[in-house]
Amino acid sequence: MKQNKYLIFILVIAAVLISSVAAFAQSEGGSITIGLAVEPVSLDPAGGLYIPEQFLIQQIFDPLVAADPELNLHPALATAWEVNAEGTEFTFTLRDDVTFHDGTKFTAEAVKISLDRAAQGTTPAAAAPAILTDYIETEIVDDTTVIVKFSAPRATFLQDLSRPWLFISSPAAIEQYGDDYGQHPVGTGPFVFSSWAAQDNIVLTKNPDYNWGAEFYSHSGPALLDEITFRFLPEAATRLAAFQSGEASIVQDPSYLETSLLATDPSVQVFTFAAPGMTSHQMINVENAPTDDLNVRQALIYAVDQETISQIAFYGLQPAAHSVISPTTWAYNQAAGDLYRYDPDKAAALLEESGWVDSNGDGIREKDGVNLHIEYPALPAYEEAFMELLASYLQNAGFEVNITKLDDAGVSEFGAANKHNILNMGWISRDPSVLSYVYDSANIDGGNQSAYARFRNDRLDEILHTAPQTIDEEARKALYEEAQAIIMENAIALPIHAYGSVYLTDASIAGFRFDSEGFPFLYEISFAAE
Amino acid sequence: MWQYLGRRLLTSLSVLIGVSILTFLMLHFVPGDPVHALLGRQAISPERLEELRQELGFNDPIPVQYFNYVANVARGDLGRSLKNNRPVLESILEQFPSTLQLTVTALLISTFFGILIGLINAVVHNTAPDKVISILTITGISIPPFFLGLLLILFFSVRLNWLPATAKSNDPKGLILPAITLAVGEACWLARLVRSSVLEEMNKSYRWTARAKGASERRVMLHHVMRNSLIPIITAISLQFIALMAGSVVVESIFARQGIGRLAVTAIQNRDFPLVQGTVSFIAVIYVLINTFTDLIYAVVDPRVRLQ
Repeated sequence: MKQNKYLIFILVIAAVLISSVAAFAQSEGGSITIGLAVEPVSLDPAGGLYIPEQFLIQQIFDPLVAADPELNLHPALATAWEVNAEGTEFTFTLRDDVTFHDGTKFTAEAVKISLDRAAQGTTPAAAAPAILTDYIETEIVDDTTVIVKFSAPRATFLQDLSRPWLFISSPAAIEQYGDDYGQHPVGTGPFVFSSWAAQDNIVLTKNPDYNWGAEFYSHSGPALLDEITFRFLPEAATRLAAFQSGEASIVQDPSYLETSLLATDPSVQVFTFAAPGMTSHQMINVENAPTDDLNVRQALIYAVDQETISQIAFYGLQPAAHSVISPTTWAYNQAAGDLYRYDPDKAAALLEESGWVDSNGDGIREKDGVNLHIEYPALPAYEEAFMELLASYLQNAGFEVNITKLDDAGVSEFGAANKHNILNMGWISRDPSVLSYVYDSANIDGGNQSAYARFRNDRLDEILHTAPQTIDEEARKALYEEAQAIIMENAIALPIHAYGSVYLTDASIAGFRFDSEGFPFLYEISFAAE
Repeated sequence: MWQYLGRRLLTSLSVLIGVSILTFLMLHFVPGDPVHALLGRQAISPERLEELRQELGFNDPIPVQYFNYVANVARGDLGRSLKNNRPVLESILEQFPSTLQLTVTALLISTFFGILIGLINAVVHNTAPDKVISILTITGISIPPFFLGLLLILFFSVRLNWLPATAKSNDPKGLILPAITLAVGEACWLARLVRSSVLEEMNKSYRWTARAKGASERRVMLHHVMRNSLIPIITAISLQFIALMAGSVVVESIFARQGIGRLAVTAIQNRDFPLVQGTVSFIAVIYVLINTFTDLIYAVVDPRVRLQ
């Protein structure tokens, strides 16, 4: 009898041990469904452009050089690199033990082919060519050594390499699928592309051989999940319903109101991230009256309460912005970001100083019989949440605001015709170098014609030209800090909000962590051990 | 009969040519540069923009672009999407089965319940149940599908967890809520129509003649009244099929289903010219086919049609 008791005791212990081992084992493996707002267009790194493409490309492909969340660079497919003194030639030593998902070996040739394709771009909307301006060629020294050559110094190239557009594709797969490669991507990443049903889902499965993740990841070896299904759920209400009914355990960009309500639910985890790069801001046109006057431009900025806009329009999930770039960007200038805070009295004083007063009591200020009028071409796709609110702040300050709602092409045309006073701009990027796309005066009538502030300042142009070629980090940082100061002091940017990534996950998801641009590392995600 | 069929086909062909010209013109007269629309708000040099316009054929005169398009279609080539470079026909054929499945299921539901409720409604007319059914059917017609869809999701998926809100398109369980969402309005509309059509026939004198000749009420209803009520109902069902295809655009988006309606909407948003042209023309072909088919059935049911 006593023996029996022992036996039972041992059995109980054994059962507890087995079940706890089983529970532990459960934390590896399994499959999850992620609800995305937008379907990718192409999963070819050299063809992709926007956020949905980048997110998926990161799972399937690897970079030569990887960036951790703090933007420090780590070896990935390249184990070491050297830059020549001029910053025009980058020599990479490559890993020798990596295979693509199609079984072919990763070699120097893959790097050359991938970068050559990226420099060309494989769809009209590809982002990669803009990153690889001045690219000459990639020279293959031997199977594990390449030299990438530029015609001008390229200070941001190593950081750029860690962005999805320059990730490395399998040459054999490019050859095999030709024009359809974007629908059949093959990389070396932690997940293997499995299937794509357009307007429905994309399925990725674990790469069992994966053993070359960068050192900053929380673990090494293959990914923890066996399978990931991405579902394209364009309606925010449906995304939320799919999450609440358990059909998706992670959803991206749920509607802000519901997210704010769910935040107190213990079974829901809310993750938010303010993206680096240019904030969503209104570029202020210095050529057209009345914004050709510095006082009027500064009054525009003082008249707007970004904190309240963030709360009302975005339930706080898109953080308020006070500068042309967001605080999470490298080389953010705090002083420039502190120049303006909501101050309606100051706005009124500035406008009165310039002679704008409301003499007929209609709420709109006039000068010499002309109303203080602002032309605002708006793109509801980006600005719907806040455009009316923004206009009402400006109206309170005595502006007359005319909003013209247009699509992308319409706004570009409106801006190119120089009919606007304010026009929305924004650009997610780790580096302030994106400022040159829209603040370099060469882009007013020439270049990409996107310098809608039409601001000509020799010093700013000089900075925007020299900084991307300045290899010394401290010097480059100082240059960009000065650029932010010039932009904000001249009041050519009315900041609204930083771009926030919002994800909901249920309580079963563990290991959720954002990378430096607000994408979760799916490689690190697992089910929470019981 | 053959002459009738030939006439119908000729009319159909001219309708299709008309649709393709109209779509083409509308796409080209929307303000804004199509290449800009395609690229989004991306910084791109005017040289590259010009290069793309040239490459994509937007610099040719519009009639030339149209005839190039028609010539390609005649060879069975609907072109490739400007956005993702996939062949347009491949995308359409991939997405259409899901729309067809949804529309046919919804049609079966709406026809069955529409006729059933309409008949009951007609039989009990001028009584209290008539009022109740009428109020319910009018409510059903008035609820927009996007609202009904969300209500159904909230109740059956989120609360009860019985049916998936966003099943993959090949999961039959995922068909139930979308099909009901799509069918409710049409079923109620059909019920109203059946009710009035049957009531109208019931008041005609042949009904009394048949009764006087000794036919039972049941026989009079089924063989005389129903058959004559059928003519407007057949038209209504074919119109319904078309309305359901149009409604599928909304339902496909809410339930995140594959489908040609959603494909067309996304293509229009992206100004993906070949894809818009392809999907709109394809939908037009379906409409014309259904209309022609209806006319043929019409001719079978009502011999007077053939003589015209």
